[in-house]
Amino acid sequence: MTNFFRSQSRSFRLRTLGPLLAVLMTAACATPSMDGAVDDSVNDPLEPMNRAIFSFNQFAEGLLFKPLALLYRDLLPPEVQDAVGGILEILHTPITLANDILQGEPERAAETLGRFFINGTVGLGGIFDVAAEFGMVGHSEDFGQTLAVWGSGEGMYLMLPLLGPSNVRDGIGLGVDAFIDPLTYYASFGEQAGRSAARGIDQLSGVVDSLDEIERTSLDFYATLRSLYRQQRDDQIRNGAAPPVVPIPSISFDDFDPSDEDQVSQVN
Amino acid sequence: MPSLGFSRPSLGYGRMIRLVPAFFLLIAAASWGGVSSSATAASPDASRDFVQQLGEQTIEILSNENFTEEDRLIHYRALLREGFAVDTIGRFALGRYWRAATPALREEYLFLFQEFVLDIYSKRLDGFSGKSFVVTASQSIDETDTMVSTEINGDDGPPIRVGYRVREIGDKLFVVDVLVEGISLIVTQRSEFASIINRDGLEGLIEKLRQYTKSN
Repeated sequence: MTNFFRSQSRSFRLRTLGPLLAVLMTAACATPSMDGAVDDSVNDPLEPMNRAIFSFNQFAEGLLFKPLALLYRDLLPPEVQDAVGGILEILHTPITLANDILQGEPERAAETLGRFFINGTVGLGGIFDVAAEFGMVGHSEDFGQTLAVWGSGEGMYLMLPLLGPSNVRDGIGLGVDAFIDPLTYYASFGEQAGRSAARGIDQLSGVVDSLDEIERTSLDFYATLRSLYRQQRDDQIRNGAAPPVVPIPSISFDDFDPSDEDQVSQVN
Repeated sequence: MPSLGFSRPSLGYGRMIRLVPAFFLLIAAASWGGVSSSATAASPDASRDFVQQLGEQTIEILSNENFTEEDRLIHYRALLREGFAVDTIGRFALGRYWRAATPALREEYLFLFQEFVLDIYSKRLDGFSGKSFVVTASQSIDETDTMVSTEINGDDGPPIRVGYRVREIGDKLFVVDVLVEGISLIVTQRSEFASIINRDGLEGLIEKLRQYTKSN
């Protein structure tokens, strides 16, 4: 599963980002750090508002993004889709590279740089993934992950309009990534919006079936996505390393089980 | 009876005779320890074979061209019922609410959960169609469980990492969790259930499960 909805649109301009960042920063300070631990606390004090935005997103997705993603996936030859993905990766290189460096990952930074030069030249601007032939596999980084590596908690969960699941930390990350991105300064608004839309469609096309299946097999799709998003981000932050082991108590009809002890408080 | 132990050092055949019972005692103790530890911890090798087998059976069902989708789902259900510790998973999915539930409620919940989970897991399993898989690692992660890491290779894109957490329950191995790209199935389930219980109470969750199992 790749990013859900993380189209990372740069259509927020810096003018609007300033005040937004200020608000988010304050919220980040006020939110207790949750440090990546996955538990059943849902970390979602704004749930009613988030659910409303989620409904809107689903409406927009069903009306526009999903049909586009399906057309893209089913009508374009796989080679073309790979080429689009490759070009988008080239455009994302400055952000990934900067964050590789900020996270103190020289090897991953070298890989990012190597892919950029090989695919950017021999690969004709990302159309062909020549670097993969040399065993250089692509990855993506963002400032939300960097903040996590630096020790920041996730902050409260946020559902962003059109951009989908996020949290305070990743919302700030989006803003900082926009500062890092040269396209913010050199591309026109239309070009940036086009890039963002392409990225969103490209990512959605890869997960649209999975998402449908999850929706069909969920009792509460919003809650399921929230959990998936948090765990997926944790996995990205760990760069795929094994997650912490969650204690799974054995089934018992006896009342006392020490592993429950800290969790028992109220039952609604 | 010769006395046990080493308190009287002597050389030769006589000492050996005395040592024989001690030797057998040691063997017995070691094998006893072995038995009891294997009853609580799933061995990495056995877990690897177990997951390998599960995977092969899944692919067998997937690639059987005589099966309709309905046939496949029926076979998955049987496979999952056999290989997954559904009750343990159900208890985990209820989180802290398990303890507060009455025995009658627990029983009804577990019954509905089993129906629900067999349905959704078999449907999600069917989505992995036409792919091969390899076991990449198998190592114990705590006193009782072993994580068997596998990779599913699709037609394009990088392989998908799928981990199976295996536990031995009553001399038999069971899957207690599946991690797809680091995302835990049971953590997701528990989070979803907690959200529903927070909004509608445990009764609300059971009602939703009832509706789901009725309509699927």
